[in-house]
Amino acid sequence: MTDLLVKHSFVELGARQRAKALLDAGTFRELIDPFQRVMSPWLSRQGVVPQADDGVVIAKGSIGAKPVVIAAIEGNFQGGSLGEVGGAKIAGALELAAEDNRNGIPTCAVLLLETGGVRLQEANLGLAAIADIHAAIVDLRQYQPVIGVVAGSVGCFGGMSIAAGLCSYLVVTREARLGLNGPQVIEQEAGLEEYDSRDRPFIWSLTGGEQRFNSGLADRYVADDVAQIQQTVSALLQQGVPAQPRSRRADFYLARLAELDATAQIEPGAVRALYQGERS
Amino acid sequence: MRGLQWFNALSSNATPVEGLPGSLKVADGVLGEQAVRYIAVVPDPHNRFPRARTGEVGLLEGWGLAKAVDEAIVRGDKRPIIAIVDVPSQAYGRREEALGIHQALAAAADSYARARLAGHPVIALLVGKAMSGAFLAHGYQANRLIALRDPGVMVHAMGKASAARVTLRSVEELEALAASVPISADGL
Repeated sequence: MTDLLVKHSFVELGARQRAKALLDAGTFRELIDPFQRVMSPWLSRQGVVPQADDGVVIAKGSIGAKPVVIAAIEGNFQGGSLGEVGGAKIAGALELAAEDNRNGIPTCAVLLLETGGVRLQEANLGLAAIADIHAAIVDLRQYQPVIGVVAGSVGCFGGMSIAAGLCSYLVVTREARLGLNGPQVIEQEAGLEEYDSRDRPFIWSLTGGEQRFNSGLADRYVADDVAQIQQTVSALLQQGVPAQPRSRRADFYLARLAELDATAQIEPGAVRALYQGERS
Repeated sequence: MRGLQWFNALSSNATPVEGLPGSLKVADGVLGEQAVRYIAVVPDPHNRFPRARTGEVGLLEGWGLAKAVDEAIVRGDKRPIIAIVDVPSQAYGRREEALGIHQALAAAADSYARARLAGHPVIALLVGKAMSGAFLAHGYQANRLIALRDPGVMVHAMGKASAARVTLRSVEELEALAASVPISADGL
């Protein structure tokens, strides 16, 4: 009961509130804010009402006095999908952070990932923007940690799940889901027997935050609580760049996959055992 | 099979690189006077992962691409890396999601991006399909994208049937939109 009074949900916050909640008090400063009206030129002609920030909030400030840029995706606008403008906002923010580092300013980055990936109404431009985001993460990650947070409730899919896989550290909650292909798309492409998109417990058991953490595909598993997420992100920033990001462990994962009996369909426990061994 | 044919044509005098998944074709050769590494993802009917047998980029392909590119970086000679791109899609399947295909594709994108940052010219030669996540992992991190002028060469974010389902429209509506909003169409 006391828990309920003390805890503040992070998942229920919008993108702008999330960014504010993570930054040191009074340091939030938004770049290309909604009043600049940099919006998607493509949505209205397809019958979709655009949004003044294109569903992406870029904020500068500090966390634990370290300079940080946050890119927060608004999951409530078009499923957090990334088009030309929103994608360019994120890529540009990360590129400027890398430039800061080359000029002696140790800016790090936090990505709040609630996204279905490419915005299909802007298909090829969204795809190109996501490739730019990947490039910028790999560049910035040389200097400073890039921290991905998947809190829920949209989850992180498509090309942006690859971005999550490029992060120095990844933080997830129980509400989070992380996967390349959305459940509906797998069902469409591979059939109901392969993947039942309506079976929510099944989806979470394979791609939910707890499972991803327990299989070593995420670094921290946290409660849906503003203070806990803030402290976790702050601690990871203090930790600096990891010795070996997960996306550079090809030998480890190829060796593990070689041990797998791929003829049988897979269960969540088998993934944990394969990737974590006795630790799971 | 376009990818395989172009790989074979370009790498006829090249030395194959062993120790990689069967769905990857990798060879070191000489182009002009320049030592280069060619990399292609090709169909492998014996792939251990059934959803990745027709040229899709799956778990083994993502991690294997990372390994193939990293080996070229380690050599230190900054040789150009030529990604021959004919990838119909990423692999869609339960095994793939469960085992973290997103992480495998991240590894491939990571290696290509680091090769570029390390000074390797990275060139993607689009000879067939360059679809979505598969293209993000194999080709899109290049310095230069070269595409054949041919109707069989396509770049797209998602197949039409799936795109229709996700955006709650019909395939016919999507095709009509693509005619008026070219960025959502699937040609070049």
